[in-house]
Amino acid sequence: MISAGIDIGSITAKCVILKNGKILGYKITKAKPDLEGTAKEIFEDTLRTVGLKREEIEKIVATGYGRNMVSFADKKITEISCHAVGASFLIPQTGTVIDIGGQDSKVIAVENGKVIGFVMNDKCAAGTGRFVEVMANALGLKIEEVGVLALKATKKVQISSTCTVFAESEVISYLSAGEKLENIIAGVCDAIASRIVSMANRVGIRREVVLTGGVAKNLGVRKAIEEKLGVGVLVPEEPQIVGALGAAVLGSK
Amino acid sequence: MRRLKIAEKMRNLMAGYYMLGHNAKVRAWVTSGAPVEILYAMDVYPVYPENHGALIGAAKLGSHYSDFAEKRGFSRDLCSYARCDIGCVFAGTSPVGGLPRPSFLFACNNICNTVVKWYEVLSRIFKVPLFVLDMPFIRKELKDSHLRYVEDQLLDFIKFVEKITGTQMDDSKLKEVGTKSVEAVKLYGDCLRMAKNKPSPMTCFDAFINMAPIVCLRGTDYAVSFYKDMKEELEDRVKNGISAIENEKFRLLWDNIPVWYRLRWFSEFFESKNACLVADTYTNAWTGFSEIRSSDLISSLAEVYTVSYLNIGIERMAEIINWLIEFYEVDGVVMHSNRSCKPYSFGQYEIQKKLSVPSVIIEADMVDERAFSEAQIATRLEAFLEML
Amino acid sequence: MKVGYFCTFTPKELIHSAGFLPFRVFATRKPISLASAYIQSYACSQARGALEVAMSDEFHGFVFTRSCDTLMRLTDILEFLGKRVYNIEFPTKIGNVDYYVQELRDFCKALESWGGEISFERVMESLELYRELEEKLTKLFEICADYETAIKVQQTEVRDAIKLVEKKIAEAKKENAPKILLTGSVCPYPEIYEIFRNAGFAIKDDLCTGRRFFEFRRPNFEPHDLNSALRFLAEKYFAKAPCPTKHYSNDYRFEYLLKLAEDCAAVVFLLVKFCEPHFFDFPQLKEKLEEMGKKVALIELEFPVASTEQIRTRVEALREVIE
Repeated sequence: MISAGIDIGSITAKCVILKNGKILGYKITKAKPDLEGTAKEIFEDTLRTVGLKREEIEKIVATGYGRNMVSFADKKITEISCHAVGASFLIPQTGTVIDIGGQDSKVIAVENGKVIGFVMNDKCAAGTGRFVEVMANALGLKIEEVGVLALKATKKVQISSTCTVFAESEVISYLSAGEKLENIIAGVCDAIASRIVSMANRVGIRREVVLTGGVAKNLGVRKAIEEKLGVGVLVPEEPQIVGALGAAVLGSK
Repeated sequence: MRRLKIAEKMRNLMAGYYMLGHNAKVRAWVTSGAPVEILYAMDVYPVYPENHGALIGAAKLGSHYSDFAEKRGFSRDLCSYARCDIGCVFAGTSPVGGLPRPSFLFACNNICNTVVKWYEVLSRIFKVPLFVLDMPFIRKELKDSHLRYVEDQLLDFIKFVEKITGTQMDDSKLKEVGTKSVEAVKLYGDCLRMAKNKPSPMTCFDAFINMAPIVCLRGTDYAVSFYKDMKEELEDRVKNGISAIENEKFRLLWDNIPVWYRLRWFSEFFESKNACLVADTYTNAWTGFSEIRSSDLISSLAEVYTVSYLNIGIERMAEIINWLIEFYEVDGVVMHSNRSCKPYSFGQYEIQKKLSVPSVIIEADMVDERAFSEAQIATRLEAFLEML
Repeated sequence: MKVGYFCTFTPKELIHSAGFLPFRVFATRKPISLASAYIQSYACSQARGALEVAMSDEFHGFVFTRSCDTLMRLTDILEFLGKRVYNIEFPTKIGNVDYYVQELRDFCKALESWGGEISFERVMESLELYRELEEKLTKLFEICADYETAIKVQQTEVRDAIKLVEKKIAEAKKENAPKILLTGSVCPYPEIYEIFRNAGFAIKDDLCTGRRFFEFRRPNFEPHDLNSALRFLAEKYFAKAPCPTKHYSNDYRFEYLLKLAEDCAAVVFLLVKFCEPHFFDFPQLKEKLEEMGKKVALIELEFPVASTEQIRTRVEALREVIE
């Protein structure tokens, strides 16, 4: 049974092809405003990577923000269900999924691979990848440098603004006040972790806690979340494709 | 969704109600939870700014009228019913041509304390007297001292109205109005309870559309005959096996004030997912007024109106919701976290934990369409339904 | 043992007489994180921040006086979190003393069930101590408003608070600058008041972290038993400096505020975002104040205050306009 899962987010698109319970291959690209076009392109790209033809794919499932635009998908399922399934596929003992995407974040309570509750933050940038992006930019850092630098911090500065735009001003004033770059960035990671943990408390934390989404690769955020939750979090090797993977798994059922 | 025929009648009835106001001798603007029986007994025409607000929302003109108030300095964080109402006063018009000037104002805070502030603003604009019926918040049990406090004020209020109208309260008239009120509420409750049938002959959207008479005409013959007719239509549907939606797979309950400007969107969305909203806490709140006893009208009014759904503690609210879940055999609850209604929305997180079925929270506003994000809400509801 | 409270209408004298320390809960200075799991973000940051504090500090119990819808719901939320709570039904409509006396009687029973001791002697002692504190604070503010002290005394044992105020009176110096009236609910940040002083204003206030804590018109009789002591308290609090969460006949609050503003050059509404009572009063008060020839500004606060720079800029600009 060969299935494909396509996750169309607002910033990135992901595609996973699954055969008999094994990941054949996957791709991650930037999403373009033409969502249907992005989906077609990434699907064909992934097919080429694994050396298969369109007809060999038995089921295509679309998920993510742009899922309803994927006309060639056989089924459309929300990213909440897909993340729960995808994470459980990789880590069977998954109890909580924390997904921090580019423009939204969610915490999903999972039991035996099924969603039993969820909380989403899709109104506000603080607590999403966008927040890290804006701060990194303000500090003249590349996103990839953020996590490693945060681990070098000797203290965390306090970022009080709830709004990303105002937090940026705060960060800049810390910089001009002479605060060390690593301490400021540690404060940024702490601020995101705070928001995430707030949401997590509403659904309840169950082990194992699995971190997904692009921001999961950020060691600083990961560490801050672990400290606040008081429990270690697991991060899959490729945390960004968990949604698409879950879609492919659901397609194979 | 199969529309109920009674909705046509409702529109005519409410159009007539609004027209009556312009010719009424004494008009009072009143809050939705106020004991209107006293007004009808004294031939005072009650105007309901909240119902007017719902109308504005349904006409998708919430932000339009709110703008008039915001330009005068009223914050967008304030309750949207208040903003739109005050906005209409400044605009000098509304979808029904504007509300008739009040002779006096009657605010009862058994729904929230915001109404007191809202009506204070109105009393300064119109320069008319405002009577505040101050209800104690019944967080746990209702005390005798609470009831006496409210009873004293009801007697004060009657004197207040007598002074303005120049007439005396006729006890027999009050009894008559009270009886009609109870009859209408009982029939209204019967209508809502028809949703117990599987499949249900109506959805909560039918209830939202047709609740105006029980709010605004409670105590008159109009409300009685309206709900009699509605009940007949629903009984007919059940007899002939006509359900509200094609394929009732999920039975859901709605919590909080409806999102007035998206009633159709929500009903189509849920129907497409085979979900029927069989009950809701908002329309259910008016079924409590059936307990008015004619033997001791004043103290009975005091009791019934003090324990209105929004004037009780969160624990009791959760109990009521769980009762509704059991009675209507509900599979899940959709909770509207309404920016404009703090007493109705704060505590929803705790109520979720106490419910016997899964629930989901969506964030919006009842009248201000700027607070509605379609993609966000659709995703949450879809994910919730996938969960069930 | 601290008993937390959230509003200046709270009968602190009773809490103190029962043997507890009445402790005003202000929003935390740390970012709010725990509270977001229990109440939505459109609750004001004073309530959310106070919830945060209530969840993390040691309190024996909490007392609410039905000030606003948000605090009304907070009572239950705190109870669900396992805290001891009690809500006194302070009426919204100022008028019926008998009703409130009964509420105070019921409150005494609650304090006893919390392990406190109620007796006429102890209540009279607390009434007298708080009278002294209020008189001394009034005196201090007549010389020069001291918000750091006004905030501090709400979280200090009354005898120590009196000593603190006495010390401050001795040090206080009269301000000689154009007066500005700050009106709002709470502002527990002493540094914000300093911004006004540094910009060249002398401060007068209508705040709960200011005169609304200690300005009362005392009843004219001497209590002779517990019942009359409770009546004394009820009348005292009915005659407290008015606030938008209560409904007064004859629009007394507006009258009071306009009178306060008479000798001020400008009025600044220092309001907490999402505070309904204050924001409803604002537009019509502003209109009336401007009719009186006063300059009016609105500064919206959120706790914790992220940056005082924005406030400084607004205040300095206002000073320039007045010149």
